[in-house]
Amino acid sequence: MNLPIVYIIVLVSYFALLILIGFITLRSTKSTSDYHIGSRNIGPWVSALSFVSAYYSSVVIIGGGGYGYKYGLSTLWIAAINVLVGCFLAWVVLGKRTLALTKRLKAITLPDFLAKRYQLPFARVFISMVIAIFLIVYNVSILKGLGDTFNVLLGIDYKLGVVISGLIVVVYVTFGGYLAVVWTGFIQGIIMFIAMGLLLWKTLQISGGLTAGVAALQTIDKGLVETPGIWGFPGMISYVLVVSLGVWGMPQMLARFYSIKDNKAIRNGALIASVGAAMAFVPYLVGALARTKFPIADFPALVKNADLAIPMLAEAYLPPIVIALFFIGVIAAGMSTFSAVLIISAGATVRDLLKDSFQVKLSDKKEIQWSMICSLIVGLISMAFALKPPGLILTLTAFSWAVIASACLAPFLLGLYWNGTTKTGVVASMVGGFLASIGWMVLQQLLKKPGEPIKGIFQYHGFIPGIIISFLLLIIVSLVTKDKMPIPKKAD
Amino acid sequence: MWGMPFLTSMALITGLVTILIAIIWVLIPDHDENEKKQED
Repeated sequence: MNLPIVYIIVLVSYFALLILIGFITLRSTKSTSDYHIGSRNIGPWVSALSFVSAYYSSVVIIGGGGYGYKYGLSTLWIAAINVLVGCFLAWVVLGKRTLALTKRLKAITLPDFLAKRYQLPFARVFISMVIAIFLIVYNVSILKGLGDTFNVLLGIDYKLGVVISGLIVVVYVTFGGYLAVVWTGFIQGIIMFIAMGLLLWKTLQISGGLTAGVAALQTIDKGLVETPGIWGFPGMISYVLVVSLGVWGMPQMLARFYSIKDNKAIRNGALIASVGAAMAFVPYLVGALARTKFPIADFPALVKNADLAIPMLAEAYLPPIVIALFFIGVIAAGMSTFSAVLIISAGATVRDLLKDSFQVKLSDKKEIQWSMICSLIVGLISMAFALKPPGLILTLTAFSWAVIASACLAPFLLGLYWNGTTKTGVVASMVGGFLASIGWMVLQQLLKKPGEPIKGIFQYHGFIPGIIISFLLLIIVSLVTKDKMPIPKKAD
Repeated sequence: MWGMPFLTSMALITGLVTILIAIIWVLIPDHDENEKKQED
């Protein structure tokens, strides 16, 4: 390990800034509402950029480059639908209604909202358990991304990378709570944006411009520039939907709508988030163009691990200061997502399970202390698993998103808009969506033959049947049962 | 566009059009009364 001094200066300054924000925000955290959602007073810039930085983890930047390298330019559709569905439509469709209803119901977490909206304590227990368990799986994959980034770009031991990045996040989330998460997320979002801009600029420079790069890619394989090209529609549609529509049911993303100041901030935030989310075009494009510089025939390592495409390109062509900034951008992406997930896990465990479901009596001060302890414990558990992650960690990431979204999205979305939902319909939808997504993915593993891709309908990800079944059950069961739960009216 | 086939270049156009719509959404004033009613 022989790090240039510029890396060390940039890294230490960045980490010091994050810890400082954690301690500054600690002073502003006085109530449980402050700790979990920052007292609903966050402006559009901070809300929008922390939304984007929570959305895109280092897996998107490094893994996105890998997808671009492997499947070519059709992966640009992931970024396009991220901007359209994952950001803009999410803000337009969910933003105002979520803010208004969570205020009206005094709900500050997703399980809390579902329990109060449907007067259904089961929803609080079930959803908080799903969140607490499956977000830890997601945490592990984010930490693995961070460890890999330290390892590949800096040559630092993987485990040391996990411990350094994990501990820093645990410290600032534990002490600063949600305010630290959104403020660090805001700064990390700006860093990611700058890093992606630099990466794009340098890549286009070494490719002789976009037109020349696309032409070079076409000479390797026409399927690398066409849509769906060598990727195929089943894989493309599944992946695009999981990482775009999945956002609508992920509690760490929805929290941005409970905490935002007002409707004007939501309108401005929608634009800022959409522009910020467009940075996702960069890793897919750069990954695809990297194929012209590192042909598979000459670089067999990239066949096994396409995720190395962007780090290799950075190492070969970028000056040290740009690599240092790119590296901080990747680390920022991972840390901001990890912190956003950590605070939600703590909220689900302490507030929803301990306090509201199991009726453990906690004063405001005690609840903040318990939430801090819980953030610490969840963080340390995630780090312990990440030190020796299971081999199928990327599959587990999509698995955790699919399960959480399949259980939460339909009751949440229809709960904002439809007066016809019934309690029975909501229970059927949550449990049915949860079981359908898990069952589908277990079947996929059972039917998979070693060395052969899955064929037929099971090429589609478990997210799709999970979501379809949860919506169908909610609508059909609500239509045939009578325990209606209309949207609560404004109190006079 | 930049030598890309139609469907692939549509991905870039989709991103750009979304941002344009987002700008229009911010610029066109909403009915404040309805917003206030919804917001509580």
